[in-house]
Amino acid sequence: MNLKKSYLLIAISALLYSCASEMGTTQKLTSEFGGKEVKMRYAKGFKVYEKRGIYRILILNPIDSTEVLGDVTLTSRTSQSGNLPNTIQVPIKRAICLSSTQIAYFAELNSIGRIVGINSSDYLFNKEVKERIASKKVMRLGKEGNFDVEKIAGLNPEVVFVSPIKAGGYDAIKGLGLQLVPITAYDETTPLARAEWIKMIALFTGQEEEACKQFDKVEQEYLKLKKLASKVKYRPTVFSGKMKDGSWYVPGGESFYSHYFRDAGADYIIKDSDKGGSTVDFETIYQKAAHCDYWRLRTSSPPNFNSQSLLEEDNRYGMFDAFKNQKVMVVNLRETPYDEVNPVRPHQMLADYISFFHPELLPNHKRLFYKPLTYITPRN
Amino acid sequence: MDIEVRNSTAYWRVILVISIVLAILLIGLNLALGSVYIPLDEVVSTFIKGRSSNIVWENILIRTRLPQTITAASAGMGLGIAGLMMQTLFRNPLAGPSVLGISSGASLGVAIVVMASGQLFGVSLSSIGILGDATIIAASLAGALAVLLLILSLSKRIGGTLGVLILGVMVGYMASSIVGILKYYSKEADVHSYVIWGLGSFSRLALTKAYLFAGITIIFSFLSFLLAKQLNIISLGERYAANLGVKVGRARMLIILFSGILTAIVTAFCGPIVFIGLAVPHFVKLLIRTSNHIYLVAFTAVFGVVISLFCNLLARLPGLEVTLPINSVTAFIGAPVVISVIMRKRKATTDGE
Amino acid sequence: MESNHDSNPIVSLSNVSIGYGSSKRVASNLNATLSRGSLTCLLGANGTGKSTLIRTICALQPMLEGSIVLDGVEVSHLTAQQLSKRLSIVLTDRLDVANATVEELVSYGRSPYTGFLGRLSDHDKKMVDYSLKCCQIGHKRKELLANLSDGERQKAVIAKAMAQDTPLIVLDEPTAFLDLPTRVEIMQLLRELATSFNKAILMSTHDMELALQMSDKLWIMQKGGELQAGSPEDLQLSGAFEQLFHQTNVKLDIRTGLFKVSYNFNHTLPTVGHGFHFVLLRRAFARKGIKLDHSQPTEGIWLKIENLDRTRYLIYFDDTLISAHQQVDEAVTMVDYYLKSPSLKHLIDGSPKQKTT
Repeated sequence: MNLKKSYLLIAISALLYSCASEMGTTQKLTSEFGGKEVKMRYAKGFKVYEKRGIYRILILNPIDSTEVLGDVTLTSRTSQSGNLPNTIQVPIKRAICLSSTQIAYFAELNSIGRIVGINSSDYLFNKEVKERIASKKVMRLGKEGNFDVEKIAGLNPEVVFVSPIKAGGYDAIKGLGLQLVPITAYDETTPLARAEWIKMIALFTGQEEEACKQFDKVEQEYLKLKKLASKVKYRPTVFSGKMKDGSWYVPGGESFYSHYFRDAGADYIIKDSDKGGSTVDFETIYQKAAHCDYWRLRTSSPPNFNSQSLLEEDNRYGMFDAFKNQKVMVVNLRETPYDEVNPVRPHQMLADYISFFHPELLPNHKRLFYKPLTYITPRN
Repeated sequence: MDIEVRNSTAYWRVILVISIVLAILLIGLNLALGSVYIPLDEVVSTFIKGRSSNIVWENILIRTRLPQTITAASAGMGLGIAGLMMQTLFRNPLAGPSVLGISSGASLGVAIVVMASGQLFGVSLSSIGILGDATIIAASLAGALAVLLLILSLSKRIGGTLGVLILGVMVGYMASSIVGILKYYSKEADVHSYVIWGLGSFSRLALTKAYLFAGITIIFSFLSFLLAKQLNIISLGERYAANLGVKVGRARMLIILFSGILTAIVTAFCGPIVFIGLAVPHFVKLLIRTSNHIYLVAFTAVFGVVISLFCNLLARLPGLEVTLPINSVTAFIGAPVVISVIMRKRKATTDGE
Repeated sequence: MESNHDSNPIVSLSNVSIGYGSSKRVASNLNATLSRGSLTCLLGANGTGKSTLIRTICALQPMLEGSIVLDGVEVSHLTAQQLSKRLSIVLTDRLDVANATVEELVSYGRSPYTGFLGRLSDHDKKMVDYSLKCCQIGHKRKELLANLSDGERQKAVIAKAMAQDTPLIVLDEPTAFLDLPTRVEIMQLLRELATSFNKAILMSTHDMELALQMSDKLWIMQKGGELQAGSPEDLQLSGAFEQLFHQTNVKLDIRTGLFKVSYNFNHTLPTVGHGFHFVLLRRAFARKGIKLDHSQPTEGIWLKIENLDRTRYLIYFDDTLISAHQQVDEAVTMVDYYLKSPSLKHLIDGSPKQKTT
């Protein structure tokens, strides 16, 4: 018996040791590289350092910004590559994007041509990507958690952009010796921060200047609209979300959407300092939002989603004032390329919001993302 | 084929040879086939030389297909033997490796780490995924071993085998309900993440971890083989077993320990894999008619490898754009086996004498 | 031949108390012995503690008090391994081993002697073969346990106990649920094991008739927890069976060794006639509560067995023949009817005669 117990102990110790040796490598932010920091105006999820034409990018943990999730060094193809680890030669020609939202940045930079593989998402709108898939220039690599590692290896990419999930599963990809770069743009809390990631992507595609110009324009436009909306006298109230599996996810008071609402001249009913959100039951949200002016709704439904479809999902939705007053703003993911575009167009998102909350400010605005909910009278 | 033949050692020798050949064939197929086409001669030469002129192919063969094959084979062996031991100990053909709630404990460990946001033991939980799967593996092991320890310590007090079975099932339910509560309160992204882990996969391990996994599985499979005599006697029932000189309590504990460790290891490295542990022992018992665990354990090990590699191959049928989740394939293969066992049992009892 | 005075018993029970804890004592002060070469049957009414005694002797439950000495050693001092070489058991537990053949089951009986993985030596294999043959189950050696009949399965389990090569074998109701011919077979097998292989065999049973005929010794557990041991004949003479059936409708006919169920008799019917027919009629009428005897028919209904060229049963009332029958059944029915008929009832009870229509 003792012999067997000691086998057990040995096995477990071996296991834990191998785990621990990997775990111990959570880096802390250091400045050993030196170089000048290229400061970002809004984005907090990454830092860029430049030294003699060589860029070093550090991807940071959105919750604890002293913790480094990713560390890559970008050197130009012409210069000699240093002996630094995780070096990628830029501009890249073969990238894999394992999350649909990453396409936005490439599309904005007209660099779709550099993508050779994407994840298999349910809805793909970008025409160029679709064409390239049809002509076999881009491969679909499977859904999250079940990526075809072989195909990824077969594409021989220079870099793989991933969206980190807690369950991991990236060991296998790392085991191939490929460069993994996490994109945590979606964890940024302000719209401009999310858009600023275009500069990070541009470092890979060699389009830094272009990206800066683009971003400046976007920033300018956004700030202009924000200023416009800040002058309003009356701020309508707004809430967001809907029931899913018996509970309602409510974005927090400092969350991404709350910034949009505020900048668009509205008043978000949730006032806490939560950067995330909370799950509540119907009563709680109804009590808060029953008399709210506007309702922002995101759905993934068949086309022609209308008031009747909403009531069919849950007829309590009809109790909200916003519904009764026909002030529901909907984005239907199956009809609109929301995920693929919104990260880089915060100004257009803001304009959409303003056109709802204060239509008089932007009378000629053509909405890109949101539509008012179509109301139909039910046939009895 | 009548019982006389299926109980003879000559027949067994033939089956053993056939199954080993099958195993080798399936290993070869798993290495040679995949979603990327690589010519066969290239495959062979890469494995012989250890490297290839085409770096991409080398990466695929040695760093993707090889670890996946090793993982699948080890998981099949480990789960098969764990399931066999559970079926023998509880004298229940529907018992499997998860009957003691070990994999539920593993799931709970992972659920806590993935879905409880914030910090845990100074490790920021939100960043775990990208830093490496080590935390997930450790969490899974911790949960599984916690349940195993609980069951072992309570089994001494409970005494009877039935009590242990009930305990395991109840622990399983409790763990699942806690996971459900965690899911309710967690961010959608995290729940999604946990669900993905729960799908199970043979392709999560890089080569070194795969070797580690295989090594541990082989060690504990061998240790289980050494328990053959105890397994034989305990299947007669506890009273007969005691009368034949076996220390029943100790034997029971060892059986639970080895089966639990095998299950814990597989779940930690691959996520919960269903049905293989249940189906492989039945398949073996169908093929070779003996109750002697010397042969049952050995054949279960080999057929566990065979069936698992077969499922892995099916899941990655070349030509399909997506790979099927491994649990779908194992259920598809395993369910008919279980159904046929039940039918067979019913037939035996209704036919009477 | 087994001697009355057990000079060297293989098992001795001294002042043994059995039960489930001090609050649930089933029986106490039990004294008995078992000898090699003899088959002992344990009898007793339900609930007297037969199973408890069997389980205590088999070390399946602890003894409350006293000592059980097995082959010179106190049972509680033996390790499981040591006990396994001295005692083998056959229980009523259902043996549900998947895929086990008879041969494998019997070979598991060699476990106390086999090595690490349970591999059989040549000697072990010989013992298995021998056990299979002696228990007459060798022809089924490759058969699955699940495919055997109940009797065959019992023989297989006994063969396993035999392969275990112990001086003592204890069986708990081995003949339960078997048909009579199989029961006899099993008992004969156990006798054979006892005498030819010099084993001490103890079995509990409800089958009194076979036990009386085939066992060397009996242990009778009476209500109240007393254990009486002795040869079947001695126990019969000492009145142990009377005591056993004290408050029941069963009587042991010492002469025949058979049991008789006594009935409550409501009437006595004088009968003329002897022999085999009388015996049969007596039994048939007894079921109806009517006792046949050879008293002189004075008045009322009486019966006569006529044996001419064919046998007839004649029912008389006083001197008049009322009816005649050839079937026992009919006769019984008619007498029963007459006895219950109200017009005749007071005649039987002694009231003034009345003409019957």
